[in-house]
Amino acid sequence: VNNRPSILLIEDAPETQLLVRAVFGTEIELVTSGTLSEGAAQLNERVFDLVLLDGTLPDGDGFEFFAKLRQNPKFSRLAVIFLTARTAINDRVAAFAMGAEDYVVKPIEVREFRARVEAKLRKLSAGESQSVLEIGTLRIDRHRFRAFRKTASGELSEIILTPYEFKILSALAEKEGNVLSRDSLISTAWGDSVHVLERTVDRHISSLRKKLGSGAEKIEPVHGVGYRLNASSISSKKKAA
Amino acid sequence: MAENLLDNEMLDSYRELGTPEEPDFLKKFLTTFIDAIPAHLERIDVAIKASNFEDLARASHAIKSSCLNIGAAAIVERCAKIEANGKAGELGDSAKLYGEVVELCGQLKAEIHALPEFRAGA
Repeated sequence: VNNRPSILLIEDAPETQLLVRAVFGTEIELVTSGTLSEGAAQLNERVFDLVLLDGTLPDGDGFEFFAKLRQNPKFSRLAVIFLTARTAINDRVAAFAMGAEDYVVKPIEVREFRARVEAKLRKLSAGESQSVLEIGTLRIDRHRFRAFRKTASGELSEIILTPYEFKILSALAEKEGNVLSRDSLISTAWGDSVHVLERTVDRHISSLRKKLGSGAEKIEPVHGVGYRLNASSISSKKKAA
Repeated sequence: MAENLLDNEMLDSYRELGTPEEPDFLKKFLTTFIDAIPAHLERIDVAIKASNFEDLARASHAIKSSCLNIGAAAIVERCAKIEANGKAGELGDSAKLYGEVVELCGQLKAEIHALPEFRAGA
């Protein structure tokens, strides 16, 4: 099992890629992308603990790329540190306003850079343990927007969910055993400013139940009220933030 | 020859990144750096001739960004000016600056090849 933190470095300069790899050695799993489009492909393929993002890439602007990422619910909480030669105060402010975790200006000062990234990884690791819900064999990682089921052999198998399905499951898991109304689920998954029909919730629940399959944890309808998530009472273990 | 371009303190910090598996990290780093420069210079040259301001800004930014990591301030400064010209949508003094950058990159290459890591047998 690979427990090393994973970092995606989106940076076109090959010597900077080498430098970052040398700074962390084998302590982290580093994946490099020389363009934004390669970086996007990596992000769509797998989950990273942290992204180091250059501000200017051959195929576009790192700041605009980050703004687009933030609009996608899948990446709305992705931890990003800018690693850039752009020193303008407007760039720094924009990065932090969009939710960047840090802003490192080149040249890379080896010890400071390592310390900054490691501090961020420690913080993320602490936050992650707070943001994971375990209900029976279900593991819901609210930080990474991913859900898993623990198999009989103890391995985690991912349940691929849409963002709405994930939010619904997360809300039900947080109140495990308690009924949540459709209105409450709409408010949690879609927000209060959007008009969503109750049958839309039912449709997502139906899909979610299929994806959860035959495990012990079931989403049960409660007539006239809403839904609840029930785990088998003996194996249920809940770690909540 | 003009003032030294390489920042020795910075290079020392990279030297320390060498490991038993890869003792020559600095050499590898600088070789990779030097190998990437000609393509960027050519892009700047082409961009100036074609008045392609977007590419002018990007290519000069690339050299600026790489040179920052070895402390080559004289190149960084000139590339920053070329980049600013590109972003402003004008050539300005880019051609003159580009000539100076080419010359400085030659000096930089000579300085790198004079480092202990690059001497014969190293």
